[in-house]
Amino acid sequence: MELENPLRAGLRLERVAEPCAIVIFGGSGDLTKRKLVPALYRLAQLRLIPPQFSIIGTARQDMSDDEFRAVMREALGKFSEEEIDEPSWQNFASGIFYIGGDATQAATYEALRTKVEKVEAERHTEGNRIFYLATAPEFFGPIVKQLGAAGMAQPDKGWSKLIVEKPFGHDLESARVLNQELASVFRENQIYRIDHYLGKETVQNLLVFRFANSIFEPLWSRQYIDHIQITNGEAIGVEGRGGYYEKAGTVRDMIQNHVFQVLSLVALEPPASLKADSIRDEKFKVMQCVRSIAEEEIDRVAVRGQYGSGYVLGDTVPGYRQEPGVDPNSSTETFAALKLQIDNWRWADVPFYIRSGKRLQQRVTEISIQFKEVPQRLFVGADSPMQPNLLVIRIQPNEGISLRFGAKLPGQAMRIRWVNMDFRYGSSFGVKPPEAYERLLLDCMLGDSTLYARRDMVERGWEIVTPILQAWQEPAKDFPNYPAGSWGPEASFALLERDGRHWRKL
Amino acid sequence: MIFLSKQIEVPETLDVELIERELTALWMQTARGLGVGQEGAVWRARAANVVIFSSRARTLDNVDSVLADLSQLHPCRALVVVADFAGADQDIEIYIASLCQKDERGYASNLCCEEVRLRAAGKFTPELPSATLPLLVPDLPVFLWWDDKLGAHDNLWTELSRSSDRLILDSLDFPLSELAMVAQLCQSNSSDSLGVSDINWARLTSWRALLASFYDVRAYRPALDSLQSITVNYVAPESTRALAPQSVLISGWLASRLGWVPDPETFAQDDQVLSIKLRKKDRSLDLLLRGIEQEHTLPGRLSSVELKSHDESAKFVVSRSATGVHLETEASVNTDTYPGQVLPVRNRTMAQLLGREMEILKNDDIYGAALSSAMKICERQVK
Repeated sequence: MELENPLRAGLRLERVAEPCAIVIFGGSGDLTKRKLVPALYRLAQLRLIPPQFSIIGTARQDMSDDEFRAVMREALGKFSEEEIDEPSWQNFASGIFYIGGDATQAATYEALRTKVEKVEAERHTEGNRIFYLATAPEFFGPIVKQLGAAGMAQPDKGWSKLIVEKPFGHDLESARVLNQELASVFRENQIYRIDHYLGKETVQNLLVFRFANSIFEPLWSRQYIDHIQITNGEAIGVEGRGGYYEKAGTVRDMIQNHVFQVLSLVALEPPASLKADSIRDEKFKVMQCVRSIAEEEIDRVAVRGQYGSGYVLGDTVPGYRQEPGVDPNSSTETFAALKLQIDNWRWADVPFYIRSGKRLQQRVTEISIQFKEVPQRLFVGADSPMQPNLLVIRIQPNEGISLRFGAKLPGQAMRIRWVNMDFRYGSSFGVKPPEAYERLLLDCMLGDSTLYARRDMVERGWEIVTPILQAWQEPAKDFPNYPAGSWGPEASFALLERDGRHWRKL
Repeated sequence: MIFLSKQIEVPETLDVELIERELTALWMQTARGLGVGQEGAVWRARAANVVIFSSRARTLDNVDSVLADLSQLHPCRALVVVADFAGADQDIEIYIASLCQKDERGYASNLCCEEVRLRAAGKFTPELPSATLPLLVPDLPVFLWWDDKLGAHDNLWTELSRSSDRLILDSLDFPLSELAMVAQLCQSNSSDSLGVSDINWARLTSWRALLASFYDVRAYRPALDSLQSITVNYVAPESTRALAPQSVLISGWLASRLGWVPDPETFAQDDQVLSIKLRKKDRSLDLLLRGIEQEHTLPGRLSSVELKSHDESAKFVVSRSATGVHLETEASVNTDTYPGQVLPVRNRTMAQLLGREMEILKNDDIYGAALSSAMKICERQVK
């Protein structure tokens, strides 16, 4: 588009989407209110989507267009961080529509097709459509099937794309079934599996950091790196989603998708180009090198935990088993720590320790790269223990990068102080990074799938965790095994201590 | 923002080391005086040199606040050069200052900017560049923000611009003769020529984006290809009460990007209206620049840009709302009216505009071509 439009040349603006309509299944749901509509409204404010852009919400209940607009306006007031400019909202809202119906019934799709075609004709969206599945996962297959049957997946005019929210299956088998269902109606290049972690600025910065700086890449290997830690901690509990979490657990909910996506970006080889498939090929390749975990090794490389009651950020909180919708004898893990090995030339013998959990001391997601110690300790009397260099890439909160190195304290004595050189997105650029959903929705409109999960990567993620999930079907005898507000069970610390290492203190 | 400053006694011959030592002492004083976290260190980051030149005392009124905001975007060493040509002879005075943002905990952890202010008057003003240039931090890009009339103070201009990578100016109220000088600068194609950033051009980004968005829509293309007139309405700048540079820049941009060439023979001017025909092969298009009064529109700014096709069968308009706080778009082709947009006007601060210009080191060829075309549009008027 940019090449065709003579006026776009040299415009210092981000890429602008073509006219299109987005059909949101689960239109009245929480995700639509909290994330999708605020992100789309902000994209409009940033002039990144065109005036023809339209939203068609669909859900079970009946509502008029105006009622749906009112619901979205209220949600925007509640969940948008910025003040809403009323004339701009009115203009944006004129492109919002709604149709109610049962997503499993063919008649709903007849009505939906009529509505979509009417909107397309009135608002000149040129037949370009995105279908967003913001529903419970059991509806993914039926919706896609009905879209195919109604002839909406492959339009005569324009393009059609499908965005699927996680979970992408419950295990390897169900992921394959889901992928097959999607593939029976949409081609893989039409499918966008959203993982909002990939929309975060710092995650994207991993590629820039690694491949736009010549000083780090030579160090990025077994030769200089001792080990890598990825921590994904949440201070919140299951927040009323006990029923869902009982069936999921931390490995399914966080590790198999978010954490593995981050891991692949840390460990991948340089891609041939920045094209979506070049990067996704490399991500998949490195995940293929993750060593399979043998059944007899699981206790040595994997730790599960479940929080009991405790204190988090100054509040007394109940244990997991006391949460609504949770079995009082539940064996679902709310914490998991793994030690993974990547068997390739770059990473042989460099352990990747990952941990993720709920009701931990604080919310933090970070990658910490610990370099090897200097080969000879020159500063033996330096009055301060030697520490290895540490590179920390903080994904949330306070997105940024910090490098720890030793510096001589001013004075006559040879004293070493370990200092951090910090780069923070917020303070260094003075601009707020875009919300993950803003970036990802715009990418989809532009046809850029780099930050979306590909089928092979999703299935590989499930393959890696399958032995662990199978072993953990056995009831856990020691649950709950960590108090809310701590950093997880003792066994998680032992996992590193056995190797002479420690989790970074956060 | 935390601001510490002091005047330095300078010997007759500038001692660069002395100034660096004084700056270091000032940083230490800043570190001691402020809670700076456990490490007891402040950050003194510099990613650019910014030289600000002015002969107008009023520049100094807001320079500190602009620098404080700018330093969040581009940590820099700022050299503020003030030449009071008409004043009584006064040798160079030097002030140094540290500008420091407090972080969310109230600590001065992001020390981003240091300022050296050099001021002279009367016969001492020609000495200013020789005291300024040695203070540039080596190996960092040099941005020269020329907050003064172009073409005046030749010696100072030559010396300061020769050491700069990029010139930043604001053509908001430039007379056409000054705009022509900018065009000349842009046309210089020697490898070491000074890049030009025009803040006024940056203010037009939203207008350009909205006009460009019409061309993104396939259904509009045929109508846009048969354009017959472009009308630009503007509010005249306060100082010149003449043609607003924004109006000629946007016209020059449309002409250059769409391949239309102004025909000077058709130039006509009547009070607040300038008209000229643009030609492309055997076709012609009427360009009209019209000065208007509009209550809530700031001087020198655009009020609307309207593109009309043959027989007025299609119309595309970007306009400022009556309240001045929104930009609105409108499109109609034949009898169909297409959805328009209503977007808040982004009132970027001077620091934000400067910061965006400092992101770019290479020349903006689109601006150069737009300016060149703009000068052809008003060639007769410049003569």
